Amino acid sequence: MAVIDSIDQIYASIAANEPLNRLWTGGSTGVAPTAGNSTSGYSQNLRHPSVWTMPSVGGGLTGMYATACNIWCPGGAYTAILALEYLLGTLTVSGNVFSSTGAVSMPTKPVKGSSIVTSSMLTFAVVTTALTATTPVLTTTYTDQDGNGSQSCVMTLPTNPVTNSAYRMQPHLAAGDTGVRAVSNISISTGSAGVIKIYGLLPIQEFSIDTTVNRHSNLQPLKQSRPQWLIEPAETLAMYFGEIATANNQHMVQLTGVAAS
Amino acid sequence: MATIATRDEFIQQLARGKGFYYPGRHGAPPSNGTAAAAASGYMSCHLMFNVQGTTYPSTLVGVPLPPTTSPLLVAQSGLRGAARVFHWAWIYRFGTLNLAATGNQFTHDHTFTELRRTRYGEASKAINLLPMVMITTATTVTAPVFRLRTVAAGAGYVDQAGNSVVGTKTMTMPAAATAVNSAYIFRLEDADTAVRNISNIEVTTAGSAGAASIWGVELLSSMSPITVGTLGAMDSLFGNFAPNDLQPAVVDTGTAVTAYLGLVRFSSSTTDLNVQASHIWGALNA
Repeated sequence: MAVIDSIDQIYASIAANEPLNRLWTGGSTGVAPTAGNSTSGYSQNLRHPSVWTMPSVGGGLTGMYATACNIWCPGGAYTAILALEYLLGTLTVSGNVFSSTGAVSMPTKPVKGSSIVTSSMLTFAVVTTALTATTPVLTTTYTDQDGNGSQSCVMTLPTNPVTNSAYRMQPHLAAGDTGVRAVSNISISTGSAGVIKIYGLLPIQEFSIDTTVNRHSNLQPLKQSRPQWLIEPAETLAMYFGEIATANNQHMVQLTGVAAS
Repeated sequence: MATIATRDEFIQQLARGKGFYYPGRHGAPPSNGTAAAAASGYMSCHLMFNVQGTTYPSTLVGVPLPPTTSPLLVAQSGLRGAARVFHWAWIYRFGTLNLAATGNQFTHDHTFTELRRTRYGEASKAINLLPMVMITTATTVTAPVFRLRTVAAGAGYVDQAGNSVVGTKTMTMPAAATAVNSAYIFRLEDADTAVRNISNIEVTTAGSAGAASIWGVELLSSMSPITVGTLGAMDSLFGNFAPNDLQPAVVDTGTAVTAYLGLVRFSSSTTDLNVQASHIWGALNA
């Protein structure tokens, strides 16, 4: 249903189904992520380990469109993104073992009246268990935005990145590529410990965290000139912080959405 | 699909992962710079080349685009920062200027005569740039003075209409000790609004020390946070009909121009210099 095509449709959905309101928090991990460089996404990003799962919905409904989203943080100077998150593959560094357990391909979603096979708008290599590895070369084999398989993304990660460090893959995709549909293999050149997961993201909302006050976003999902994503039951929403040098990433998120049929 | 024809197609391209989505933060130069004066272009500016690890002014790293050469049309850009005027911009380097000696002191980095891109159906159409100077070595003892010409009154720049121009207006750095990373807009001749290239600069008064880099700035999208901490945005898709191409312009001849995708800040003050959170995204028009 094109529930977000008009304010009237939003009101009608709320009248029929009630909106969904959720408030959740993420405690500080207490550790700043290990910064990337020109061979590993350029920036210093953190994936917060606390995620939120879309609950089930009533009969005849398919999910939720976010209509409002706010964040409160203890202050700092960084960006944040709330995004639908999809696990595309896992690498266990010890033994250099790739696993597709729990992994999916990027989903098919309704967008502006069409059913779209999505590719990640953002793709991150996330350290979920701290690495013991000296400037390891991470090679990800993936299917690109056009469905071409066996594409390679090669990144050289910093030495011993800490848990929750996230490295943006897009600058290092194969020539001509912009997105990732699926991952078929991950390998690493060196290292004795740690786990890396590849996540594909579809952004729901952007935030900027101010240096002096607890700031919420004044740009709401419906105002953005990009896809408004249908958030379906059991899908995961995660917070990614960009250019975050602080160890304090505590946050609280309020999300409001209307049901889509 | 073919090129984008509707706004819905624009959104759908992004959904297919055929685009560019960049959340980031722009590191400001480490010093506020010296405020501009009337004789130095009025506006106090900052060229913000971005990304973490950047060391101004020696090591500059622009926003990395995905590895495609197809057009990437800006859908939206946003920024959280101080209440100043910001632009996303391509920042092209013309060359360097020695401010510690008089005479013809400009060295061009390249051999191009103009930068080009497709505009209004015309391929390789020259683009016009905002000329800027950024101090890379602080000046000392005497405020340098320079102008866009040679000592022998040869042309110093090509204007927005393609005319070679002998500059008569001087740029006087605002202080004997003009700080590193200060940036100013060149004073052009009356009726001129932009340059296509800069070829010569005569330093008429030198400092005991001082150096600068010379830039041409192509403005892509403007943003103006209303107050500190708010997130201002420019919606190029629904807010206007001019989504610019995020790919850089190309030279008409010679080696590729050194260029950075970043932010330019204009202000009447050099204070309140801080890091700017930002985002920009665009769709592949192919």
